[in-house]
Amino acid sequence: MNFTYFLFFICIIACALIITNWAAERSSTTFQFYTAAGRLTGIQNGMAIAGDYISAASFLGIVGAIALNGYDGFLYSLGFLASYLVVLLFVAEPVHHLGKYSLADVICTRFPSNRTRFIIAISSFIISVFYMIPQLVASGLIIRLLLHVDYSMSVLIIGSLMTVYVVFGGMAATSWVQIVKTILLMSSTFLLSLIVFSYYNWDIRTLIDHVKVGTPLGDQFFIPGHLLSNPIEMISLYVALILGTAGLPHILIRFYTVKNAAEVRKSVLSASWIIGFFYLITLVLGLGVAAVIGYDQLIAVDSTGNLAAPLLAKALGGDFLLAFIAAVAFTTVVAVVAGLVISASTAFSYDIYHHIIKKGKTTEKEQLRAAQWSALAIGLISTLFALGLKNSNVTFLVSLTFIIAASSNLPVILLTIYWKRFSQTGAIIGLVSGLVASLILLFLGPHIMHMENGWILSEPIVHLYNPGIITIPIGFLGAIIGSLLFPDKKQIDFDSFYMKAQMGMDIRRDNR
Amino acid sequence: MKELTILLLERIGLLLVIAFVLTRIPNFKALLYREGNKKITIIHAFIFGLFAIAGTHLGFVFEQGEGFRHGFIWSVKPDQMVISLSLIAVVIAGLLGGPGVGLGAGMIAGIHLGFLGGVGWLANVLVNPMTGLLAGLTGRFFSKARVISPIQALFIGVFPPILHMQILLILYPHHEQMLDFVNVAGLPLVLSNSIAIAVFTAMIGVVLKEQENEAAFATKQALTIAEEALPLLKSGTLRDQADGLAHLLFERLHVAAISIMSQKEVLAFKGLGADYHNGQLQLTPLLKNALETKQIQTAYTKLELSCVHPECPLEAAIIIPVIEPNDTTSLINLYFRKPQHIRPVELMLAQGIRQLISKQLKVVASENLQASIRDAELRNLQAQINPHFLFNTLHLIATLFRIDPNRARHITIQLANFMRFNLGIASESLISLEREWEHVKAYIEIIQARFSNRIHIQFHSNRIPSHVLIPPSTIQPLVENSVQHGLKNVKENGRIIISVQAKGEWLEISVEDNGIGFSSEQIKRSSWLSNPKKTHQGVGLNNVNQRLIGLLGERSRLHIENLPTRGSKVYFTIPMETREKPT
Repeated sequence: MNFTYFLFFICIIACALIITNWAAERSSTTFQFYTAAGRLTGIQNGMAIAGDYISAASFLGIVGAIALNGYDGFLYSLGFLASYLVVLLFVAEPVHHLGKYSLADVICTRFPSNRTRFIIAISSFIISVFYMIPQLVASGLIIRLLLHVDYSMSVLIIGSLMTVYVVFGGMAATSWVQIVKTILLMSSTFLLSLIVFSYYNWDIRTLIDHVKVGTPLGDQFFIPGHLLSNPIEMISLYVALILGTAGLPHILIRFYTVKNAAEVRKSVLSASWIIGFFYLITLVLGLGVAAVIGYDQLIAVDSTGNLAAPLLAKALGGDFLLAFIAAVAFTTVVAVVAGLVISASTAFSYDIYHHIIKKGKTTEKEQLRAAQWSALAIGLISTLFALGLKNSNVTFLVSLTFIIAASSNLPVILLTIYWKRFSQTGAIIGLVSGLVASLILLFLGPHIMHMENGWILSEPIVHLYNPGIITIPIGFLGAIIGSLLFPDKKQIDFDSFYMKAQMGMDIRRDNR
Repeated sequence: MKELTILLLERIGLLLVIAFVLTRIPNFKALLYREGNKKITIIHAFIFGLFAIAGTHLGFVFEQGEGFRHGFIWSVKPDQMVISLSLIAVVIAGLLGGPGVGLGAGMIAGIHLGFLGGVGWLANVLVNPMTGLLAGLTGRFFSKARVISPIQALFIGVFPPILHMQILLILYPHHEQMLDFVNVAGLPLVLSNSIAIAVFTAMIGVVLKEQENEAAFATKQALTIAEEALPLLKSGTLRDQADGLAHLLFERLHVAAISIMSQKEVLAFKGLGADYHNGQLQLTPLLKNALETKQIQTAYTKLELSCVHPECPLEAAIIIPVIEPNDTTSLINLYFRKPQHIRPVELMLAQGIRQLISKQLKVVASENLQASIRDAELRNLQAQINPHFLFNTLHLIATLFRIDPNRARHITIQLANFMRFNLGIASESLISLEREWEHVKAYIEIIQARFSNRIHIQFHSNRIPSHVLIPPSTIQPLVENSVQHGLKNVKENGRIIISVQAKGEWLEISVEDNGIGFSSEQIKRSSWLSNPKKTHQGVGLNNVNQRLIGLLGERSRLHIENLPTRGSKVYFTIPMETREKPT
């Protein structure tokens, strides 16, 4: 790609970010920094949720995964989409009713203690950092593809740029970036998929025939069992994907940005529609990559498949389309990173700094300052991690995050909202056990311990790539057993708490 | 690619020149004002559609192998491809006029491109309406203001050419020419389109700003006029006021003519056709309407104005009814040579003038009333200690004690009554006629006793209705006026007749004498009776008049006339049922 097109790429990204500036001018109080001041409509918020959710992993990773692994790649899409049912049915509205700024607000409404708040903040923090790594990996790969600069260099640049951007933009800005990004991403991928169809004369059978030619899997392409040979792995992955979303802090705090429960429902519904449609498009794109580019050529450029979509754009529309699609992918990364940094810095500045260190006595300005510092720190940490992880398919990295979220946050959130005998100690035990179990199993699993290319060159102790099937039950069991062993001494009025969670006698009203 | 970019920018320069000239046409500004209805949407769509067609013809032709033809586009061969600039106009249409206008303009541009033909005609047909619609929706979404900022436009302007390229790729997937074309023309088009759209938006912004300035200017104008009108309204007769005001308005507003009318006649006329617009007022339906509804009326045709003069140059007018505090309405008419000269700014200005002048009149009236009431208080204060009256009366009483002690005692009591009434007068603005009558009677008895040989005072009244309200000390000054001026030099057979007569809903109170009467100048002045020179005589009557008008309304004003035989009559009417007028 020549330099002119790189300028074009930069120009499109700049265009997308200009909007952020307009919005950023208005975001100055803490409330606005964290939650966009509750002024988004349901559909806008739905678009923003979709923007938060459709990460680089989905766009780049899944297209690549489908192109390489056929049906198994598509499994990720299905899992990501199905998880929205859990969010809609069990979590979205109570979270909106109970929280104000951070995820810890929800739990602490029932168990008001600094210890709980601290642990939830830590787990939110870890999840956000984990989620951020694949985004940075993806953006680094894109820059490498476009400019042929060194991978580490591009990750460093991207990581610091994005962090700066969030530090000055805040949530109002990120909300708008998500919305703009969703529109851009949806329309451009949709058009790209139309180009794929038209390339094969609008005949799906021709497309499928070409797919079979392009991939070494042949007819097997449409049959499961390539990526995940073991059925336990498959179930494990599914469970983690479906339950994980409901534990992702950056998705959950999105429900604070709208006015009322009806808008919350509307936002989840519109987000699900957008996301569902998007995964259909990625399916087409994945098939298109397999057919147009072919397995060998794809592997030759990048063995992880992460660059499948940009390569497809280049094949079908030349450098012009490549630059555009790459810019869209890049905006996607910016948007998701922004959302993640916000949720992580909220966990730090609001939960830890404001509530625990300063005992709730800080000015908004101090909190904002703390949030900005923590955003900076998070950016740095994830950039460092991303430097070491360039050889993974980003979808796969994302699914690890889902495992952690599903084992630690989700059990506590669900039990807090729905189980009468749940206790504060139970919450802490559940969180810690889920978090620790998933981290340990990931460490002992084949990602880190691998005979050939792991960080620790030895035989993995646990052979599961997706340990969710073990860690998620550990999280639930920890919480339940903890509650039964150490019940709270004085029970709070669960019925009125439950009313508040479900009916929304809005506690945020007193604080305005 | 560089060459193409420069060429495109040149062509866009031409397009922007056309656009600039367009925005300088006064009627284009008017287009920006009115929006929201279907007709305007269609007109706008049409105008921008034409503009888009101009953009198409300013484009180039691209031919495989041969590159770009530099001439303007007139015809397209089947193997050539149009690079049109129509998207610029279509995006502007959408951003400015909303989705409807954008779609309309896009359809016009698209159909035109479809007829031109060439490779990629279908993409052209599709992309123009789509872009218009999307630009309209985007404009609505991003900005509540009517025109979005140039930077936002720059951002939005990047995307239509990208959409166009993608549609080309969708429609012609295996066309080698197309891939070439996208790679060569894509970037220059993106760049030039977005710049053009941003510049155009900035241009429209300037026009709108001018309009805003005009509105601000109108407001300022109205305020200045109101301020300058205040001293005019305070002084002189009604005709003087009207003259002054007409002069002021004519100077300040750039209109063809100004007239000021009362309900009966033209008080002042300034400007074109001043020679035949004066005099009697002919009540056209429009004027009648303005007087009745008290709303601003506009005449856009000569017919509505129905001027008597066949070659009157005035074709349009704004008629501003100004409501005076005594509920009469005057009209200020602004005349224009052409109906187009009435812009929304003028209408706004008229609205402002109407309100401000009505306010000013109210202020003047209430100042006058306040002054009169203060005067009355002062006068009564004087009366309380009026040494002449007091000494004369005391002297009279002293004399009477020797002749007729009973009478003396009676007069003493009357004096006491008179004085007591004067003491309480300041506290109320309206009192019952009965109490007023007591006051007058006390005064008359004293006067009668003093001038028993010179003046004879009679009452003509069947019955004094008790519930009728009247400003205090209204009748007594009239009697005093007769005694001190009308009958000043009458040595004997002076006669004063005070009568109270019911006339329907109204009660007429009159004071007649057979003295010297009023001079013709006094009578003339009394018909305006606003601020007469403070000759000694006028003060008392004028004060009464002001209070009657201020408290009971225009119909209660004081009337003065000389009787055919000898002497004069001063009379006024008051309503039987009074609701106290708030002042």
